[in-house]
Amino acid sequence: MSEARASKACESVEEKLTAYLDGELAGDAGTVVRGHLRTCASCRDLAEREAALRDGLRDLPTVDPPSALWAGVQARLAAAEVAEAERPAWRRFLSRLAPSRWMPAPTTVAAGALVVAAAITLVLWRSQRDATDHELTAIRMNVTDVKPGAEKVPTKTDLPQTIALGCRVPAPPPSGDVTDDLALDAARLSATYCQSTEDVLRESAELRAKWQPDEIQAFEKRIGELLAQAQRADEGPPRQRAMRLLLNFVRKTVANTNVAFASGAP
Amino acid sequence: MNDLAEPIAPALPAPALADPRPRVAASLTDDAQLIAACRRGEARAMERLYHQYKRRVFGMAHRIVGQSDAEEVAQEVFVRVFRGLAAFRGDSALSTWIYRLTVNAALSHLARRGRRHEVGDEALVEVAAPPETERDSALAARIEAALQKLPAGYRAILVLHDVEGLSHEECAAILDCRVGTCKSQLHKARGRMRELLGDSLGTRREDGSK
Repeated sequence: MSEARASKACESVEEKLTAYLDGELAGDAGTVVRGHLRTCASCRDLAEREAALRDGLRDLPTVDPPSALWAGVQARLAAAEVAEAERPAWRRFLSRLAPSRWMPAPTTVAAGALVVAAAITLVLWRSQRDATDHELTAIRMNVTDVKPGAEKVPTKTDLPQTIALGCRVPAPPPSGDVTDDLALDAARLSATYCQSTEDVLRESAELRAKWQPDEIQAFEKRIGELLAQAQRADEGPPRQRAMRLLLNFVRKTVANTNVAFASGAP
Repeated sequence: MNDLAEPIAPALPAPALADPRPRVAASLTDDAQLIAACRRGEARAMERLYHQYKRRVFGMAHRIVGQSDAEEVAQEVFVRVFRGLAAFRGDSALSTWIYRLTVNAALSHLARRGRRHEVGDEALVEVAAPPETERDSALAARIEAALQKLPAGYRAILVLHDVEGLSHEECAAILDCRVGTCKSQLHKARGRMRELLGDSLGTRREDGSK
């Protein structure tokens, strides 16, 4: 075999070496490579080094994830959920549309979808606002029986600046056992909702101080009811749903009053 | 030297059939049930899905972005998985989708971090060989070190195919390329690794010929 011919054969074999070593060359192609390797020390050396590399990569040890990984995922999911709840309804609606892969002709359909989304959003927004209005009206109606002057009008210092909900964040298990720790994640998520509600209450204390006493009373009564519901619910998704209801009620009520005050409404 | 004059080599590197690492066998029905339960927000199902994929997701992230950032990337992947399940249409297997998210998250992370893993001439300098007696035990560490010197794309294909044992078809689906491209990338990636590892790969022949 001439040197040039041998070199060409080596090049050809080298190109096929990965496939050959991975058992992907069948029939004649495999035979040609095998035959060349029997006679060419240089290519055989190359093949052995590649086989050693392939085996070394296959035998790399499995990397175990840290035990805190799941807790971190849970915490990020909870934070994302809270952030999502704070977004306006129309943005949540649009973000649900965005990842859809079935939408054909992106430009035209997206434009149409935006128009439809805008219309639906308007309806959703109005119904949400109406619902919040009804909720506040209901709160007011609950206390219409209270005779004016029957109760002492609280001064600003009497008003509750914070409302403690008694959020309990579970402590890590003393055993440090991963399984025990994972079991506490559902309670941690519920506690996150609870703390977010407390945050909104704390931040809105000044605003609430401007409310009428009957509104404050009705507001606190409703919080008490929703909190009791959450406490009665089983830990996990049922309690998390109940805590979300509470959080949404507080947010909607506070936000709606904020708008009313900002616009100078009584 | 005339090749024909050489003795016929008795020992050849046996072509190893594709021998992927055993994976969690999840039938389509199992996946569908798991996905449905996760979409309903069932904590147990979410936890099961996490445990089913945590090692592979973390392992891939670990080898593509390195140890220090692997946890952050793995967290991001699982958050994307759970938040994206509602939009997952089952066009590919659940595992393929999760691994694709993993590779994409890892490569995006590298791009954000601005790390450049392009291999220049200086990077091709061989990793220093350990003493002969420590060779076997140190090979894994040297391979891990060499992996980190590869361009990210080469690293991804080596991790998916050689470390995780996925088929070329799976790798192509994950990397969103053709099977032929995948094979060609693997060939080039192994070539770079051989260069980086130099003599430390050694040979198993005893005659000392080259």
